[in-house]
Order: sequence, then C-alpha cells, then structure tokens
Amino acid sequence: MECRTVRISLSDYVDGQPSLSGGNEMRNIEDHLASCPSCRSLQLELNEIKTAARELPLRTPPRALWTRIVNEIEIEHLVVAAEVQPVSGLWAGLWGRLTSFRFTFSLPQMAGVAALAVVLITVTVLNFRGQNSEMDFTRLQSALIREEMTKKAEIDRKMAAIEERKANWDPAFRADFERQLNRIEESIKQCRKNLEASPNDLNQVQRMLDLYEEKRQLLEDVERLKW
Amino acid sequence: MTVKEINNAKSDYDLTQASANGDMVAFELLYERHHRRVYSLCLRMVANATEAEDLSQEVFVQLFRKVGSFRGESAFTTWLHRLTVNHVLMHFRKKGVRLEKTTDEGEISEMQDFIQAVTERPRFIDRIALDKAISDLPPGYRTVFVLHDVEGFEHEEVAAMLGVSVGTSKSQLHKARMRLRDLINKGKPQRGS
Repeated sequence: MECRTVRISLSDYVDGQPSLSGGNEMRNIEDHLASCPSCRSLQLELNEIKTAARELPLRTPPRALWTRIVNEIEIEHLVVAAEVQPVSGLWAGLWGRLTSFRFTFSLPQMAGVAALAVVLITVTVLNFRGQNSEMDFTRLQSALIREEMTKKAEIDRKMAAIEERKANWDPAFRADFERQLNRIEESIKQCRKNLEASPNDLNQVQRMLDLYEEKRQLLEDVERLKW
Repeated sequence: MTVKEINNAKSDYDLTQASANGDMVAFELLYERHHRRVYSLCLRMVANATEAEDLSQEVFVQLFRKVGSFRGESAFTTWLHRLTVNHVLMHFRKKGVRLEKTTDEGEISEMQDFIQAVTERPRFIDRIALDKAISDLPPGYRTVFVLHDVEGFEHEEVAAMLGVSVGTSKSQLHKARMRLRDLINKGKPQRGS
C-alpha cells in the first residue's frame, strides 16, 4: 500500500470508521504503518490532535455578558409592552419627560397640544354634564318610585271613598270626572310605554310625576265635594 | 438554602420551566451552568472574541424566547448545543461565509504534504497552541473540526447541519486535521534555534 493512499484514509482509521473496520483495507493500513515511520508518525499526531481537541478547556466570557443579555431581554419586553399597550407606553414616555423636564416642542406640536387640550376640556365638560344627567335620571327614577309608593295608598283610599259616593253624583258630573280620570290614566299608561322604550328619557319621567300629581289633585278636589 | 444549593438541587428542566414563566433567577442559573460552553463553542467556531460575545448574547436571548418549547425529551445541553450551532451557522450564512470553502491558500498537494511530513512526531500538543491553530483554520475546515472533534457530533449530524454529504464532512475533517498538524508544527521552536 502506498503512503499516499494510506494518508488519505488515516483520519477514518483514527476515528475507527466502520468503512475501514472490515476487509483487507484495515489490515493493509496497519501493515503499512508498521513498516513506515513517516505515516506512523502522522497517525500518532492525528490521534493526539483528536484527543487534545476533546480536552480543550472551556473559555469564560466577560462578566458583562450577563448584563448585556438581561438588558436585551428587558428592551424586548418593553417593545412588546409598548406594542400591546401603546397608550401606556405614551404615558410612560410623557411621565418620563415630565419627571426629567425634557420637553422640546415645535410650533406644530404646540398647536397640536393646544387642540388636544381643547378636545379634552370639551370632553370633560360633556362628560360632566352627562354625569349630571345620569344623576338627574337616577334621582327622578327614585322619585318616581317613591311617588308611586307614597301616593298609591292615598289614591287608593280616595278612590275607594269616591266609588261609594259616585252612585249619588249627578250623571253629567260623574261622566266628566271619569273622563278626566281616564285621560290621566291613559296618559300614565302611555308614559310607561315611552319609558320602557326609552328608560333614559328624563322628560317622560318628569311627565309621569306630573300625571301622578294631577291624579292625586283631581281625587283630592272631588273628595272636598260634600255630595 | 443557598443559591448554590438551589442551583444544584434544580434540574435544567425545572429551570427551563421557571424561565418560561419569566423567572429571571432561574434563567440566570441556567446561564451560570451553560454560558461557558456556549461561549467556547461560539468562540471556536468564529475565532473572534467580540463576535463570540455577540453570538453568545444572541443565543441566550433566543433561549429566553424559546425556552418554553423545551420539552425535556433530550438533554438540555444537547438542545442548547444545537441551538447554538444553528445560530452560529445562520450567522455564517448572513455574513456570506462559504462553508464549502476548504482553504484560504489553495490546496496543499498530497505529495507536497508527504514531503513536509515531519519525521519526529510531537510528544505533546499544547492546548493553547491547538486553540490558536484552530482559530487560524479556514472557516470551512474550522467548522467541521469544531463540530466533530471538539463538540463530538457524528459525521451524519455535521453533514445534516451544514447541508453537505457525509463524504464531504469526512474529507473536510481530514484536511482540517492535516492543516492543524502543519500549523502546530510551524508554531514550534525549531531545533537548534
């Protein structure tokens, strides 16, 4: 076997590759190495290189590497957080500027800030008015319920007394009374329907309260009659 | 329980699960256990300390992103090893490093190599000299040598990672070893000097 052929296969031989483990090739290489100091030397050198490569010590990076990694991860998290919650990011940035007094506004930016302020004031006022309306509505709804509860007993009692006396009334007067009462009750029914469709309609709530008062007043007026 | 005891008590898998939930203490323990191995691999593959630091940083940031996908089906060291190798190979591709390039100075003919063969073999290879010689290898040789001889991958694995045939991997390894032998011998003080 020639040196040139052996040398080409020496790495496989050093690694104990299966392709060389059987047949005559392995034996031929071993025979050659036994008789050729040069190839034998090369084989031992390759063995040493292979062994030394496995024993190479681990190298230690600079201590700052961990800090760099943590910083990179934190930056990534901030970017992700800003993408998910842009408003928070904006406010965080504004807060950072506020606390460090780092403000540099151009003229268009100042105009933009002024416009934003106007919008904010308008929205706040409207919102406040809206809150007042809500408060009014809640108050009126409560008043409506209270009115119904407090007047119901009085109205029922008056109605019971009037029913007993109605039979003795002048038929024309009685018809007039019943027409007025029906008108009020029809109006109350309609008002309830309207409120069911538009629970926030404050006008209807106020109308309902007025109708209760009108009914109570009518009964009270009739009650005063001696006949 | 000291940090060292916690470090010893927790398995890599436990630490990966905790890291996946954002536990930076667990991730730091993982870093402490494996950063030298990752850095050494990067350093030997790119043969440049600054690049190796950058790559190690990228590997650990990538690890933090992906650590939840580690299912413990293989050893964590194997998994991290693959992650690191793939990252460095990707870096080579981005840089346009031609891994198929086998030499930066032209092939030394087998006959020339034969003539240059030393008659007196080295009794001991200085590991520092070997490290230096590895860094002087052309990228293609260096990658195969580091993956096979330093990191212990089989030729089939190296071939798959580099997208070459097993025969090419073997051929590259043989040439890398031969070149290393030359570099080490050249670096030795001459007799009588």
